[in-house]
Amino acid sequence: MSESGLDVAACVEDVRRRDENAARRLMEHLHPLILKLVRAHLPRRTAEEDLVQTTFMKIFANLDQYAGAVPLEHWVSRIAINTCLNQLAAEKVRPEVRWADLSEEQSQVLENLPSTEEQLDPGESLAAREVVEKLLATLIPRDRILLTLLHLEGRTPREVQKLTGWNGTLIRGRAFKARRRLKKQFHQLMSEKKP
Amino acid sequence: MKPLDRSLQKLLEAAARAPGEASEGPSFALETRVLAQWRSLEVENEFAQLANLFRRAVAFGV
Repeated sequence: MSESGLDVAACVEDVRRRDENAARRLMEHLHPLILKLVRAHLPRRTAEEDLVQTTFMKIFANLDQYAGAVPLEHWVSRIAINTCLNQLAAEKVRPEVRWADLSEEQSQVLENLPSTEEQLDPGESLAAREVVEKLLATLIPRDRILLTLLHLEGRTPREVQKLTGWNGTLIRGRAFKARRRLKKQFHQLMSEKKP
Repeated sequence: MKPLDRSLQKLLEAAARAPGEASEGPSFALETRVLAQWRSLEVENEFAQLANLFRRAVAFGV
């Protein structure tokens, strides 16, 4: 039984028997999880709801293959993340981030970074998130998704392994290289800052 | 840690604290589109099964 009171296993069985009401209940149950994943890894030129729809279609089309060996939410997460990954890979253009493209709030956040030893003001977190998303958009899709999971969502490598199905050694090695690439982009951006 | 690396760390930590957007349930339009596609998938599968059956019948007939 899930937190929402839905008997997930029974609901999945009903969906397999083509019960539309069960399909609706399953959509309502999975929607918050899928929406959260899609919003975190949304490609620049794709509408959020289109990607959620594509993810749901893949879930329903492949539900017969779900064997129940892992929690349904993990299986669904893998589908959602791979759907975002495929869409990101299709968008071949990865724009550079230039200081001149930043909004006033975004450049203010970057200017405030070196001056304080403490954390940034909570009011600056949205602008910080926007800057980080711009920096992440310059990376290849797998790096972008990995750093989002590790640094923005605060997942452990083990959780990333469960969510993506990627090998643990690969996650650690890739995360190291991805962070190096992100640093390079960040240093480049900061070097454009006016003195 | 170098000052620039520390700045990036602070930026990432601040970004992680950004509040997420509210997550409401699936819209009626989304539900309708997904269910319609699901139904058409079922029809496609039935058609594929019928086509398979027809091919086998033809093969046995020959």
